[in-house]
Amino acid sequence: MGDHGRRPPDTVMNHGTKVKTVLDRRTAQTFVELADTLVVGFDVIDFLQTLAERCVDLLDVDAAGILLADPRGSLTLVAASTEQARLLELFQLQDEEGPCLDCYHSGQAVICPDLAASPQQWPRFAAAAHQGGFAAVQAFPLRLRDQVLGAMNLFSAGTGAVSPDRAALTQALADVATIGITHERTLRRHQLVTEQLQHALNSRIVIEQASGMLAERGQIPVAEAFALLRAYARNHNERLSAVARQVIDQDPIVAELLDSAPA
Amino acid sequence: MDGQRSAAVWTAINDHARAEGAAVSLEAVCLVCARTLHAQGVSVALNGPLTGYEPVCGSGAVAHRSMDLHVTLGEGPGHDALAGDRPVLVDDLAEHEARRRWPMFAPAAVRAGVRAIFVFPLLLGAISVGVLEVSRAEQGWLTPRQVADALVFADAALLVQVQHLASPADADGADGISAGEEARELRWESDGRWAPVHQATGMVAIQSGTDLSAAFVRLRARAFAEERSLLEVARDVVARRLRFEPD
Repeated sequence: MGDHGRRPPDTVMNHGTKVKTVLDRRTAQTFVELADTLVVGFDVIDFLQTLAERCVDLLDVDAAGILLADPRGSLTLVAASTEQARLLELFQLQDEEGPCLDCYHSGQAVICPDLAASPQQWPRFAAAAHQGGFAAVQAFPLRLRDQVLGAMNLFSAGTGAVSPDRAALTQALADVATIGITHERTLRRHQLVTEQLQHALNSRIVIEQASGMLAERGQIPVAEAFALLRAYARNHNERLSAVARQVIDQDPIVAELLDSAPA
Repeated sequence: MDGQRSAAVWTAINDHARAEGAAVSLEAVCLVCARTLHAQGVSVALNGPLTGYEPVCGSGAVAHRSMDLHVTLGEGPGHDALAGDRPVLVDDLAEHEARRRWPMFAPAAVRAGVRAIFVFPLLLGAISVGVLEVSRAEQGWLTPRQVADALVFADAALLVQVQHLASPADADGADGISAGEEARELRWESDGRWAPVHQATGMVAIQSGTDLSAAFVRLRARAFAEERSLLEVARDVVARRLRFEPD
């Protein structure tokens, strides 16, 4: 019974198979990790942040971000794999034009393997992406049946097509994001989605406000303050938004957080 | 998601205020909101220091009745929206689910003529000032477009209230906004929601020794005075090209 499914010893694995096996294992680990966070001490922004980072690990891209549609009229970044200001602006620019906006409106994945190729669909966005060091971009919808909640956005430094397998895995990760935001796979009512979406958007604002306060207290860059908040939440097994709230309430936690900063 | 639609809501609010010859007030937000959403009642309750739910204004007798029930019963969708930092949308207060959540409020509200209620918190991150409640005599959901409109009305109420909190000395005069700001259109462009604005709000709160809502008002006032966008001013703060001093 123990031998069931074990590979015969004479099988020679070629390099490609090995890579695929490793990737499969990492993919499985990621889904397990994400499923775990969905259950224990769930924090929607922390969850999406983890997801964005894992996308970079798994999908062979250089940066990832998750944007949600605010019904008031904007596409807002709620999680990103890095806090580089230039990259964040690339995400934000897509409130006006870019693959994310197109993906959000169409509900379909938008894959652009070479931003420099003509005809250029998004001249302003392509120029900014090029300046940021990115040559290719993908956007996948966060879909809940007929509704599109936002999009997952991936950036690559190199050009190149995306295999159907890779695209399917990316869409699966985007679906996981949707589940994380709505908490349920089968929310029956449109309106409950609104409640959850607004909560997720507001949670991100709380974290930005706390990052600003911490940055000013410690005279450090805002991105560094955010990293401190996140590391503290992880190390102390606390929710990111709870740590942010404590910073805003001027809890003694502020001094502890700043002390934890690398010299 | 529809930026033009949201601009139309701001225009309706400002047009109403101009016609009345006054600054935008919470009353005005309620009135225009009720008209736009075809609601029987729209009301605003603020975060009270004692009760946690303080009715301040409403359009229509039913709106006042619904707020009274929240206060006397100590439960209801308004309380939940305040506590949960999220909208609470109820299509039918006579349904089992609503009666289970609010065993006292739901039947009492139905008796008072409120069948559906939609509560939107006046919320910007950790800045939480109250709730906007939209009530209807008939069961049924708001459409997604109406929800989007209601969120903008909640933004307007939030702006009126944080500006009022920032300059309480003017409270005796106008109904919310100080005289010097009367000429100013109330509006919140969508780039004013980008991350640097919230980060700068946190930084300015520390620099000027105020809370977040006062810091947000100061940022907006600076942008207005310099005829720049809120986002531009916020970016200067985050890049430490601009500092605010204590009052």
